[in-house]
Amino acid sequence: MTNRKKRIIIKLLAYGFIISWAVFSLFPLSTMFLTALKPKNAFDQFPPSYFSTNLTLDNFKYVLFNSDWIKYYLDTIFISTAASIIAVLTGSLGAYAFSRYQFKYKRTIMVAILALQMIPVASIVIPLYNMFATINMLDTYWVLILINAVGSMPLIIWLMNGYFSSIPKELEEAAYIDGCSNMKAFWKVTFPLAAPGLAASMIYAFVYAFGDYIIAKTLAGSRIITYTVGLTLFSNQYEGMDITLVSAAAFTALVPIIVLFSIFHKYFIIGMTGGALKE
Amino acid sequence: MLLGLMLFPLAWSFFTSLKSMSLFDLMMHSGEFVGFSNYADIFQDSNFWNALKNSLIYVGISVIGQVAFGLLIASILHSKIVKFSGLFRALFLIPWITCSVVAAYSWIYFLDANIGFLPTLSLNFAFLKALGMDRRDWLTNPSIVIFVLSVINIWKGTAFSMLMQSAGFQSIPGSVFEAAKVDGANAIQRFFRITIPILSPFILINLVMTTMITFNIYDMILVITGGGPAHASEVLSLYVYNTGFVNGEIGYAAALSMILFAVNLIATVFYLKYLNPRRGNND
Repeated sequence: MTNRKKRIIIKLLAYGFIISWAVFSLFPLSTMFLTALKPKNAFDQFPPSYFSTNLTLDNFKYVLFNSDWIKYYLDTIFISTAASIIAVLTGSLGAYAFSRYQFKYKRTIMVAILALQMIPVASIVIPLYNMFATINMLDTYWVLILINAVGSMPLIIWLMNGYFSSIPKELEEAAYIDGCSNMKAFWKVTFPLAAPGLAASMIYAFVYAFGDYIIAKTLAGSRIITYTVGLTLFSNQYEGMDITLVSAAAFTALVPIIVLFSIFHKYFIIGMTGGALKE
Repeated sequence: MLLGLMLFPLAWSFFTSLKSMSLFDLMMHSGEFVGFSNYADIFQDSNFWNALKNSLIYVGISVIGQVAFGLLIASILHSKIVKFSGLFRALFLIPWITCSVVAAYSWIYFLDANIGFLPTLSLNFAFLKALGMDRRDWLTNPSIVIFVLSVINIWKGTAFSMLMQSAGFQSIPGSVFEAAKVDGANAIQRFFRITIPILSPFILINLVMTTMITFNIYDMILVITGGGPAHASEVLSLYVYNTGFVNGEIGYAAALSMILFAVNLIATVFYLKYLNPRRGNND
């Protein structure tokens, strides 16, 4: 009897905690969504009318069709896609070399690459600015693509090294016998087999570049504006009460991530935790 | 072929080496050579000590909160007490996958004094007032802003800890618990005698990783408060940024960033020591 009671109490506590954490997790974002659906004048009075049922899609329409937002947004998607393609192609080639060939100081180089991951952005952003200012590359697509690609590469090399090592060498040897060159064997046999790892790396690199704010703010931001920087401009430009527009804009920024997450759930988690956990 | 493949990582390493090189370049080329006087200044700088203190509060609360809640959530979800655990897991991951600028705005609007949801809500509900949630100065009161930011960081980062600890739970064979049950161990004993020891490597890695991540991120704070009011929420990495790009003291900021880098280096050594062997085995 007491045992049963105890179990019920534990169950209640567990449910209570889990549900309150779920509410905590969703609250800020869901109120932002609600805000985006409000007409502009809802925030003119005090206190603002959060609880009226007066909803509209005007803010989304305005953000997507009548402002610069869509340009910022497409620019960001272009930069993130380009950066993730470059990072995955070069990173996986490098990882392939690490997994298939023996050379001096291999272990040291691998550890050094991982250590590069730990360099804080705050301590390299100033020299980076200096460097790209000297070669006149500030405020171009290339600078953002390059830095974001390089930034996600160490983890990709580690992740892909693990995947390539799990693919048996014999498959490639069979391809050689059938007359493939090294490069062809890599592209036709190994590369497709590593698809799960590639997907995880690709998502990691995309999310890395997509969420970047510091680099985009300091090394670009007048001609090339990513949506993260655009969002801060947007909120300054409409200083005052127009939080409905900013909320709508911010919410559209969530969409690609949520879509990627719901389709590639598993690879997303592998990618985002850097392969520290598989499955 | 080997050369061709090696060229990419090498070229990439070369590229990165340029980055850290230019740290030193910058210090020598910008203005006159001042030796180590920038470093000497740091120790006299009250803003530096203030930022360090804020960093310690921010990192301390965030890391303990994230790892503790992550462990709690993972253990509840793993124990199958609660139904729909897959659904809850997906919900909990949402703050984590939200990019930090969007997260920052959602919290600004949530807490804003005039238009924020929480202050508005507390006008209508007495129980929120009773809990002391009716204040309007969440982001403008210097004595609480750093704690509010820590809570926001816990909100965002706990899912990562949850995933790490879930992986830990999955590595515990069920038979261990069965054996302990047969031997008469109760739930609390099982938790402290079996779960915690088996999970301890995961918890350790989690602690180190979260500490490093938290120590270095500042984009969310930059957007939410920008370090204000009056340095009250300025963490170390944000101080480096503000010194360099807001105050324009590049040389001094570079010196600060070397301090930041040194702290990271120490953490990295820990990280590699504990994480690396495990990775090596897995891969």
